[in-house]
Amino acid sequence: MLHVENVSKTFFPGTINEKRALQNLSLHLAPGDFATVIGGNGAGKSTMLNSIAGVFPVDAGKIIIDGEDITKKPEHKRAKYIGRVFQDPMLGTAAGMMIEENLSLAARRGEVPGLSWSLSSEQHDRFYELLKELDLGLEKRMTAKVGLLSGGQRQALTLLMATLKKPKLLLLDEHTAALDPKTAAKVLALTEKIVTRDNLTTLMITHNMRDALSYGNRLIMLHNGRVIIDVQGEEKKYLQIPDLLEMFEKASGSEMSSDRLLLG
Amino acid sequence: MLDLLIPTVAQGLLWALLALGVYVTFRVLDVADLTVEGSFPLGAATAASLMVAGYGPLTAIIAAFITGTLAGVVTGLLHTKMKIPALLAGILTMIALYSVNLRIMGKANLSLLGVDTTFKIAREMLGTNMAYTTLIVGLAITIIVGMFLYWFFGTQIGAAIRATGFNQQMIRAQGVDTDVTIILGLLLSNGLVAVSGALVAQSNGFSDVGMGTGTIVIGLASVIIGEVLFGTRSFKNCLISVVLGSIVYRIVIALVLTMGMPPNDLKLFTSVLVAFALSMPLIKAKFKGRKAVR
Repeated sequence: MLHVENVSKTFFPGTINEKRALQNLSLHLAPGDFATVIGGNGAGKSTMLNSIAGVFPVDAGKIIIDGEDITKKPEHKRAKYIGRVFQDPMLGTAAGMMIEENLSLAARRGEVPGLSWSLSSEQHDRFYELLKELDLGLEKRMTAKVGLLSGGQRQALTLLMATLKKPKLLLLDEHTAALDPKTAAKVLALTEKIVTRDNLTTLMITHNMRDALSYGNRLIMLHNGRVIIDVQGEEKKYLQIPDLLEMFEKASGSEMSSDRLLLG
Repeated sequence: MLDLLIPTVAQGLLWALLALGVYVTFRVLDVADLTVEGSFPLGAATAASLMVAGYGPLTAIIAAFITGTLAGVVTGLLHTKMKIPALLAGILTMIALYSVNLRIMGKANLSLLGVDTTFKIAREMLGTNMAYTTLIVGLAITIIVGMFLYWFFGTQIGAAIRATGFNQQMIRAQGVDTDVTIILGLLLSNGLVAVSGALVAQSNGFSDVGMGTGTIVIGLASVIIGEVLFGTRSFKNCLISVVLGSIVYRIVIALVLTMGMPPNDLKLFTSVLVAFALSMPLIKAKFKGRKAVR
């Protein structure tokens, strides 16, 4: 479903701040793969996701989704294939618009907007049912502005929006990192429910090793802009944190230093 | 009193299109667009020149709308494609338009004396005096434009433009090219502003190259006064508030002038008014904070 081939990205090339964020990174996801992505600060996790989403052009390599080369396509044209949830709950929704309006924008993800009315009554009923499933009481507040919602509610809504029109690829960039632990667990459970139900090909960045181990069928660890660990299936299922640390030391030749990655 | 009120309200309605245009950029798109200072006299110049050349007022107003939209597109392209900050892009277009407007009119001031303007024609049709005629024409145009805006911003394209103003990242992730929505917003805004200019010129009986000075501040004043006095509950509410704000602004100006303020100080007065209104949230917060400490 997703092929990332030898992608490189360097920020501020030729300056003192030069940062080689991705170095010949390759990654292949099969349809339905739910891969968690871990790695220390600066490992290239977000850069990888943003490269796939088209936030900036890559320096080298190819990105292919479902057989189509999207390397040169701008961000808004890739939206047809990709659903996204960001770390910052503010980023995924338009705060000054109603819940219903945000959903209707997401329902047409990747389509050219026309001059027909944005809200329709059939949509309204569908949104009502979907919001009800979230079990956050949002179905009773469909005309409320999204800015009034809590961070967790906004992330749940963004997740719903990202998957409202089934994406070929779902990108989750630490989408629970800004939430309190209880809300984060709720949003993660919801994520798993939706991803499993729709069999979505998913990349989920997390800072929490336990989450990385307990969710998905695949675990990818980045280090210095490369994939250094990629485990899946049975192997992933029985993987424990100490195993992961050992694998990291072997693969990178250094010790795990980020406390946040260890304890988070 | 009514003799003073009717023409004042009528003026407010003609200027309401400017206020609606400024609302589209300043509030909907979240961009302070200074193109307005050039597109307002551009609309006036276009309409006046065409009418002096013998074209009818409707043709003149449509032409004004089109030239206004072009000015908006220029600013939009400078901002989105050339990555020039919106404020500077607007200033560049505004300055360029000064020369363009002089070119269009051929001189700095074009009189519409003896020309059949919209208002003269309407007065003959309605059989009322000029003040009432201006009021009726202004009201009709404002209602049509207001309804159009309400419809447009409810469509898929309109919703995408509104979302662009709130969160560009979000709407790009939904597959919308924000360059296009920004340009569309600026296009629409400046088209409205140019129509406002065309109407004001016809009402004044002349078009002047300097008539755009301070229009952005007048537009902002109308938007802010309207929002404060009449609320922002829904988009419809906002549109109505902005129109009423434009009328209230004209009334305030008429009042301070009758109270003896020299007309030369008008722009200073308006600027102070807007600066005060824009700093209201901070002043309110400070005041509340102090109360809490006590």
